[in-house]
Amino acid sequence: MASPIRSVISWFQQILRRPRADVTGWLWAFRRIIETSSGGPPAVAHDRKRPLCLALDGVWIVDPGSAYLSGWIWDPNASIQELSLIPPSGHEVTLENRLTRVRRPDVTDYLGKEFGRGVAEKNGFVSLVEDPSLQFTPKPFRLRARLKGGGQIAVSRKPMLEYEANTKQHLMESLASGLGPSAAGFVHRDDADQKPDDRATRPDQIVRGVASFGSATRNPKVSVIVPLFRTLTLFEAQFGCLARDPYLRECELIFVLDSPEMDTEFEQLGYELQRIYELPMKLVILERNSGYSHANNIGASYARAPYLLFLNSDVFPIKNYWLRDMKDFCSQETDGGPLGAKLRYEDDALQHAGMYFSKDVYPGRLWQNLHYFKGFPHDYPAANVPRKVPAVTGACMMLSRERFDLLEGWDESYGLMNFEDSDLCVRAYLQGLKSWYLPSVELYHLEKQSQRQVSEQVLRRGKNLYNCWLQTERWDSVIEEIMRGFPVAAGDTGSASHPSLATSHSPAPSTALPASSRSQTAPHALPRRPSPPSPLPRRSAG
Amino acid sequence: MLYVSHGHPEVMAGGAEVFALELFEGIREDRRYEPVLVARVASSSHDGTPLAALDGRSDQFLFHGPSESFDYFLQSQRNKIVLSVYLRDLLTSLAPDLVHFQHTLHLGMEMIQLVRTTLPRAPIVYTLHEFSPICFADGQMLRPTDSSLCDHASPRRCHECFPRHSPAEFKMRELFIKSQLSHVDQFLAPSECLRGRFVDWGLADEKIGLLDYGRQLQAAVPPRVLAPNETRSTFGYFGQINPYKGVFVLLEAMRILKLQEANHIHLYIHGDNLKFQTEGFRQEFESRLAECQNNVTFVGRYSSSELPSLMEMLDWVVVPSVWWENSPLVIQEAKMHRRPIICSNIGGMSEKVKDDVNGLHFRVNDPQDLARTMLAAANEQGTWSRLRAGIEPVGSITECVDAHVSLYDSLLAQSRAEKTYQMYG
Repeated sequence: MASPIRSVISWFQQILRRPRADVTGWLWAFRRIIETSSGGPPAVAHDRKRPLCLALDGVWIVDPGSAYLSGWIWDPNASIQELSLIPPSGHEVTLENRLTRVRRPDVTDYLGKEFGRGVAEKNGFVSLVEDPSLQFTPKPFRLRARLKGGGQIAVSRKPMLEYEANTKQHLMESLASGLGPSAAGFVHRDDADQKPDDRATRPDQIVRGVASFGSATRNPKVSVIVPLFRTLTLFEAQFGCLARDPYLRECELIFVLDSPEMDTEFEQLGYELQRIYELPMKLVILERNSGYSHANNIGASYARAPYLLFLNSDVFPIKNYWLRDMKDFCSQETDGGPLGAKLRYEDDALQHAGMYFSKDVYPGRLWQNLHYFKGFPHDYPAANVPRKVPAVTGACMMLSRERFDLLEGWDESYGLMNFEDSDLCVRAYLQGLKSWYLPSVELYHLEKQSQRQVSEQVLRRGKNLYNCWLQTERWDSVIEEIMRGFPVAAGDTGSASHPSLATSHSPAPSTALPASSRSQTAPHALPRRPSPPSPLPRRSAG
Repeated sequence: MLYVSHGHPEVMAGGAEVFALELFEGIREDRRYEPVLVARVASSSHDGTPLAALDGRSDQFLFHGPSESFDYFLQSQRNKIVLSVYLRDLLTSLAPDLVHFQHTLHLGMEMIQLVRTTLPRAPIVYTLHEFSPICFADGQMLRPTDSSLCDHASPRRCHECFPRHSPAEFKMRELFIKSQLSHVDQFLAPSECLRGRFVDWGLADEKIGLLDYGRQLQAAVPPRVLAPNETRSTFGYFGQINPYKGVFVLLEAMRILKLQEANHIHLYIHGDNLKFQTEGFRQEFESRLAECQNNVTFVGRYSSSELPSLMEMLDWVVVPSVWWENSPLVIQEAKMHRRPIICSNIGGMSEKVKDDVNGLHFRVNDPQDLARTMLAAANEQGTWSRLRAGIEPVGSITECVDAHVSLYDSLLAQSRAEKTYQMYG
């Protein structure tokens, strides 16, 4: 039953249960989302005899057996006696005590114009309803109000027909539009009366098909796994850049297409590129868009090499043999644990030189992922030292197959391509594996391929908050322990201007870089710490 | 050997295309190599193949590549089947020992990769004609925002010129194009200006050779016969009528000279392709021409066989381009007929014409300075003769063919010497 969606929902539930949670307007964004979704415009019922309106903006079947509702009620005379949701099966589910009232400025405006009436403060509502009768169906659901003294009004809507990842995205987008301060106040241990089901079971590995182009490399040295999403140009350009490297011909390339609606275009382009470049590749086409971690895990399940390189589709190599250098370092220095490279922006500023965890960023109680020396010149001396770091980016991360399996892969409960990498690094730490940064391997990370939309920024804010929260929920004490090994020093970005909880835990500032010289002289003497018992239930292998 | 060009002069004339065909014919006549030409044209093709032997000739193919199927941003071929099937088959059927690209415009940069894939041992030669790989603005390095000259590309600067493409996309463009060019064994640049720009951009210095265009030499026509009291006051412009060639700067200079009542100065404009320009450009051209009535004669299209008779009427040739230029053929033609040149003081023009030696420079895009220079050139006694005496001989096509053939020889010798040719290095 459990799925990544459920952990988002768990967060919602916790927020909704908080008695004084200020959720002003956060679901307001739903209206816009829903109007553009497949369910049609919001349904509104207006009783002509008395001041009474009932509206249902959307119904989402988030899992079999639970539905998520959003709507509003205008009932100044308190005429409603009972409210219920009626799925097409006819089974009636009462909504009593299941509604959370929210402010809806848009509704206030609307009612003011339409009826010229003063309105109650919180006329919006959201609700998570659980009942076995709530199953996905394309037929409409009814929201019905029985009125005092007889009679009823009702509205109906079809549930949203969306892929899971889109549902997740919409929920997060709605979180972003005003939940920031509430989230800040929300993270209290004692409040977390119900822990989210973190280690969600991996959703079914749904693969529509696998296209193999060219005859597969025998005994590949590294499997390169690249999730693809929508942009054909990136696929072509990155492939063209990878293909110039002779070493890639000793490796295998696995592309995982996460936008199945474009399967034909990608398959055709893959086929033709193979004819031009003669570099073998596999194209795994997923049945639905199910997120970055899932795509990576699926890709790994097709990999045959002893080393895996997870690569974003917007990461481009600079020199040949970069992959060989990474593999050599991974096998000799990191014991197969996470290894990251130096990544540059298009203007040659540093994008990645290792990541660290910080609570410096508002709202402060959440562990954020920050990058060392981000925006600095790419040859900044402190960023040119191979060393252990708290975490490395997943945009270009190598692990040995063995370690990857030990860690059970990427976690799929984070939202939309963020924090899965730090999560993996934390779990590696618990297995005694440190994350390493190798600056002699440099690539470009060409983010922002298209001009970013405003809605996307809003979405990012929401998903970031959620991911921070989840990361902190899960790993607070472990991350604290990791960061004790990386005292915040003068060279770190931002730390000077943002005194924080993190710095208060840190020992006195020492050298600009956390110690790595010891292991340089004795590369194989990596300290092995016994794995502490995981604070969370283990994830079942998908 | 296979010889690839982005145009065929029988279909459309442009400087690089003319040179490419002359060189092809020269190599064919030289007989040490048997070249086969593939030249791209825009027109439609036979069903089921983009290739057609040109009028049944055994050594010339037209490649039909409509401009819609060319991705100008990545410089790649959108219609991949062209490469993955048809050109691939052509390469494997002809199996040339060496491939020389004069251009990949409208063909696709990946054609270089395709050669490397299908003919792993064949050396690849690539001639650079303008800045297309570096610059998205038609390879002119002229900023579309304000028509100012650009001296280096960067993702940020390119994004300023084309806001709809992000800086990251421009970096991707650069990396993709450089990946394709990484398979080239030898680049050739006809001017130091162009060569230096590509070295700055990141191509290996030692991989780019300097080799100017060679020409089918024509015997110099005699100087124009002057009437009594007449000075060297007749000027000529040769070239396409387009915004980059600076024809408006020249017409403005002529308007200034007319206002100064320097009516003894006369300009002939020889050029074509006005029809490819925008309506606004054509209108401006017409109205500027009308303003200089009596002082300017617009002659129009000309063929290279007419060149001697056109040159015979002139004292000076003006090259007022507002972009860098590479090695303008018109400069070679003027030198061939021993006409001193007045040109913009930038790029390939200032490289090929030495100020006060075989011509005169004026400040690029400055009609006042051009007018002053033309007036001085026409009026100063002795200048014309002195500059005419400073004109050096032009390299012939035969010398150019020789240089190419010895380059091919050494590349092939090198490739044979390397027992295991680095297949994808």
